[in-house]
Amino acid sequence: MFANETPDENLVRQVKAGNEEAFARLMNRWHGRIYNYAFRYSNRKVFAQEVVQQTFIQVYQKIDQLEDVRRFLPWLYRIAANCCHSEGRSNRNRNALVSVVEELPEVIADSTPGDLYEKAERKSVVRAVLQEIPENQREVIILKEYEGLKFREIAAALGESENTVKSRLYYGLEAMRKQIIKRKLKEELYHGS
Amino acid sequence: MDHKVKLIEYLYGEMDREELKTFEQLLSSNEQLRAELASLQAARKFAASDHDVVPTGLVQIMPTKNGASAPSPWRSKWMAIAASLLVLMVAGKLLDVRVVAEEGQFAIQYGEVSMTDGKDVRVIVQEELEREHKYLETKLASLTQQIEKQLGARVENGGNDKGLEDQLAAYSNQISALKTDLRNDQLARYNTLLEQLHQDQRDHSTELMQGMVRYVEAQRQQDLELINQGFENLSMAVQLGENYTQFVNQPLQKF
Repeated sequence: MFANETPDENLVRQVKAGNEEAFARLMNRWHGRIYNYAFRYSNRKVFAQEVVQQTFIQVYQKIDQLEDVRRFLPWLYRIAANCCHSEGRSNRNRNALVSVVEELPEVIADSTPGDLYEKAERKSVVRAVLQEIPENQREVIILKEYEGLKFREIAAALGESENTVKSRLYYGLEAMRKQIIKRKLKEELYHGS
Repeated sequence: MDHKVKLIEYLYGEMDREELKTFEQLLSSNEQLRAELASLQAARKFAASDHDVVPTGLVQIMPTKNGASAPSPWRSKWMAIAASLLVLMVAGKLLDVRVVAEEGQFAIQYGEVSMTDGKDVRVIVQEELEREHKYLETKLASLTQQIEKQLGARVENGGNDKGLEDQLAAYSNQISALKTDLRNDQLARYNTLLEQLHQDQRDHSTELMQGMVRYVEAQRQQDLELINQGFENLSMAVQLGENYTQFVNQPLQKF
């Protein structure tokens, strides 16, 4: 960490004391990670944006409930996970309002169309496979594999024991492997390669 | 304990030395366990092939040099840049901002580290530092050889050689100038990048907030349209109902 970088716990203390600038800094520091988490959870950008917004609204509203400021990170992910669950439920009822435009791929400068297609294809397969894994296993995979949280942090974020988290991760990875095999079989069936 | 839990701990390198030793023994004698481990590793590898998610905040900062160039006096400058990149990467880990190599260029990216065809920027920088290290070693060996040669000449001259002392003083000046240059390069580069990083974070944050506002507004508009549509449908249904009532009532009124 940079010498002049304020640790999370100090920022949290300042937010608790009513410092809005500290909250902005905290949000600035973590919104990208929460977006990542929500995006992988749902594979939808608008969903992820909504979760980021809801998460930080709740962080602001509930910061006084966080007793141990050193446990900010798992607490933040816990809120984000809950927002993902509730947003997932409400989204199922609002599918008609979702625009198809939001799912268009990003255009990256200096990439050839071939590169873009290949990259998008590879990423979309991984993300699609992730969506086929049961929710409680999927969130553990995201938190460990992509967010790089420690097992005890994931356990705190999800309110489960460490062994449960490890066990879910095992089954999640197994489910992922089965999905890959299933897709490969389908490809062979349709394309004969 | 459940072997699944153990496999996961092994897979993510979260075993202490004793546990690791016991588990590796078990692994070497259990084919089924090895097969399970291989499956999990394959799934992890597959998951790792998608590491660049966050679409915003990609900023180009400098071009990469293609191929390994021959050592030159400017190598120290490259070393300073590489060191700055390393500092940024360590700091970036905490700022949630990372330096990545993408499309033949270095870039700062928010969120996940982007992998470029399996070659991480950390590996690129590491390789460059190793090459730099080797170059400096060769240079040092050559300087040592020269000094030894001249020391030998000094002994032959009876230990009195003004030329050698001048030469040593020149070397010493050269080394301290190189060190100053390196330090200044590093500091300047580091400060520029840091400033750029902060600015980009501010822009990114503003952009995100604006995006949120736009999204909420769009959602509100869509909801409104849906409600209006609902009202229109309802009034059409009412009108239809009225027409139908009239249609039924007309013949009845004759009686």
